[in-house]
Amino acid sequence: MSDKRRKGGFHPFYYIGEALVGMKRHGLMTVASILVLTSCLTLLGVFGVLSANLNKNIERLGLLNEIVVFVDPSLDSARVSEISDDIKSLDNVSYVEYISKADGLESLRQTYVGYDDLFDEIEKNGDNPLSDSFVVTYTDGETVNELEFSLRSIPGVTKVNNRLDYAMKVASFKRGMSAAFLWFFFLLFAVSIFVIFNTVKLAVQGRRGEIDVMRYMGATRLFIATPFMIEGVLIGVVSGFAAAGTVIGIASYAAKRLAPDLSMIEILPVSGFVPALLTVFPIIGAVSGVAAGLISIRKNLNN
Amino acid sequence: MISFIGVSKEYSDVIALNEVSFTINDGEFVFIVGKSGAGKTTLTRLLIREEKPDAGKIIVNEVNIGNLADSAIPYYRRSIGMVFQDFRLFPDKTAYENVALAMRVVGEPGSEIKKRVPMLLRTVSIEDKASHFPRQLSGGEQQRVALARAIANNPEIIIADEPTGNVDPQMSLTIMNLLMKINSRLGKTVIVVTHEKALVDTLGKRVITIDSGKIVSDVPASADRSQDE
Repeated sequence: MSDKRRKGGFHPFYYIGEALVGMKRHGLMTVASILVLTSCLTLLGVFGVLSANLNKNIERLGLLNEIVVFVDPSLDSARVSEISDDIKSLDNVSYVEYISKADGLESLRQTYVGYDDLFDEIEKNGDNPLSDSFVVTYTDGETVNELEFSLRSIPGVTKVNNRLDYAMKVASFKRGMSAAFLWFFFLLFAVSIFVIFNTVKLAVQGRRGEIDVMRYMGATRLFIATPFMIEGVLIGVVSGFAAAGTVIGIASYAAKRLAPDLSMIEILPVSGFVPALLTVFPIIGAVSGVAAGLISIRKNLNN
Repeated sequence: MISFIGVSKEYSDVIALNEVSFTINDGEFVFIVGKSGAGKTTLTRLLIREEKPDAGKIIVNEVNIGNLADSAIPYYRRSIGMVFQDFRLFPDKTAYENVALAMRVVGEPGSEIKKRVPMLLRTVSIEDKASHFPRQLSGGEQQRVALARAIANNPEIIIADEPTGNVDPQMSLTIMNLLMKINSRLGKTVIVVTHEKALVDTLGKRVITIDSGKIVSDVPASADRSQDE
């Protein structure tokens, strides 16, 4: 056989044109595929944004990995320094931050703006009611009860605030939410793959006669399959961008509506998510389209 | 050269071809005739390697096509141009695009396609209908586009499966004349599968007759006949 017979041939405009014609031919299935995949990705995006905000606030509020230790206000600085050394020597302690009662009062002043007269009065009279404290950061949540017991045992320590229970509840809520969303996501993802699979299957079946003629002409499997693959990719990419836009819209709307009412919560700026959403979602969509297209072609395009 | 050597093919206990042997030389024009169910379609399917023989060998240009790997089949088929009874043109493509697609399949560059398609349409006298869709063309015109498509990649062999089945008698003659022109001027081996014995008899070409999966006669072309005499 001559070299000419071995030519491969790559005609991108032909492939894309054929893919677009295929999408138009099965318009309803194409729209259904896009809608299902868009819903799936939107759910994933909303969950991602929620999760990022939750993590940020948990981190900000120091709910995890931190115990606050208060000491007797009557202790002198030498004893407070000894307590600091005692805490540092304990197992499972990674970092200790000393907060003097003056620093504590200053922090309150920053938080409660508009009460300067009250804070000035307290400082003037020297009757700061706060205690010196240590914020102890630990590494292992499993042995935190032992650490808490050790901290309580140090002479001069009056109170130990371990927010582990609360943190555990938040973490457990987050885990539950993650699991529910992931199951839902996988379910929708499977449905998306199934719908794209069927769209490509219809496209292949609708062109069975033409495919046979192309095979008689000497078309390779790749030449025949490429437009169908591109069809799957286009469905995925369009869904990816649609979902990214929807998530950005939902997040912007939520931030605008919730921010004034939830001043204690820090809401991450939506602009921070935009680049990730606009790149990752179309890629996920394209991969879904390729996967569904490949499965469909393998099953429906017999040699 | 095409050689069938003791080729048999069976479909669920029905013998479609039974130890068929014949040879077609390069540049020959051959009719394969027979009644419906005689085995003509099976022979065609074997020749384009749509099927493998159960027994025997099919040698095309010194290659046993029964041994071709699946990945090599498309490249083998590029040496064959197919013409069908029902034309099998792509309905959403113009006459030009239908011919261009055949060239695209084998990876011809766009510049070559632009240059050759008008020439091919001219060869079959349909250049004025280049921008027409198949539904805008008569049966004869569609078959001429199909012929242009079949020769687009300069194949060595043309197989026409009942090419006159869907056209009027006058057009049948035109199509046959075109096939003979392709045979004589371009030097292609042309195999026409048909049941129109009357039309075949007027053209004086080699005729292989099949019946019940067996070759019952192989009459050489009239020129060869007179030479033999």
